[in-house]
Amino acid sequence: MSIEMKDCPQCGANRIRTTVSICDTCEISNRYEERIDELEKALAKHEARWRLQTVRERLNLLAKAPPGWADGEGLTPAPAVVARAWDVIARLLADCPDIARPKLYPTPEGEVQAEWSTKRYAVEVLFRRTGTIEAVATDLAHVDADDDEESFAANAVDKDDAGRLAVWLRTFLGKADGGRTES
Amino acid sequence: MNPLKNHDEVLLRQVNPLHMEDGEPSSQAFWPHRDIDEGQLSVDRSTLTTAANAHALFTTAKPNGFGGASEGTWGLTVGECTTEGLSSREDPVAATAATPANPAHAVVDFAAHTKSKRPRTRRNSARSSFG
Repeated sequence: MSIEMKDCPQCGANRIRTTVSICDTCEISNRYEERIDELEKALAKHEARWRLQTVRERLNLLAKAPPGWADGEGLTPAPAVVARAWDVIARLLADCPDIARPKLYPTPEGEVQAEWSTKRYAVEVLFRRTGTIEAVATDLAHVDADDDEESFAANAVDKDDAGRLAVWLRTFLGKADGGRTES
Repeated sequence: MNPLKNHDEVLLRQVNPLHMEDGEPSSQAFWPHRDIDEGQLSVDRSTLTTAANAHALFTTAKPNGFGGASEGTWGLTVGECTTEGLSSREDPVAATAATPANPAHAVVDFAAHTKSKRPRTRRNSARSSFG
């Protein structure tokens, strides 16, 4: 009695019995692909969590800046400013994996500054005590040109929606080298 | 005071620890943000001191130093300041009862620039000299 054979429908390279769907090589390959997909999803979730955790730790550090931290001057960042910076940056990074984690610094006025660097642009977002967010992008290749500036009212960007800020940031971080500043 | 004319001279700037993250300084580190700065960015001249000595003098407790906090010394040249429309000049500091002399001290003049239109000193071109 002869065994009926066919070409593997997936790779076409191997002969298989008609009672099985694909060859062993393709089956193993499919398992690898599925496992890689699982690992990539887990890694993306891990990286997102790491980005947020890093921001949280940095903001906690800034919130503890002692009065006079800037050589005798410098206010401790106001709790409301730190909380707002966290709300907005966390939303931004959670929704936009393409946007790099910014560097975060205190200002002497007790506010929080987020900075991104690309080869072409210096991008700064300032979280004011008033609740507004001021954003400035400087074209480093044309220092005499006016900066691109944008101001977001307190209710325009919040913990539920950082979409407008993301659109503005992508205008600059998407150019040149993609704004990858996190290390 | 005499303006600095050697475009290759490196001006040494101390960077506050809170203005550093992952080895990258804030743009604020190159802006005279304190009221007492009066628009003059304090630097030290590399022709008169070293990055290490400038750091030591800045961070050593008074009266032997200035008792400041610094994560490290960064440098930018006189020529880079000129490119940004900023002049620089020597500004040696005499000793007082509380602080030592600093003959290498100089300033970069930001007085003509408002904060909203300040020149962005290029952090990418600033060189880490010591830290």
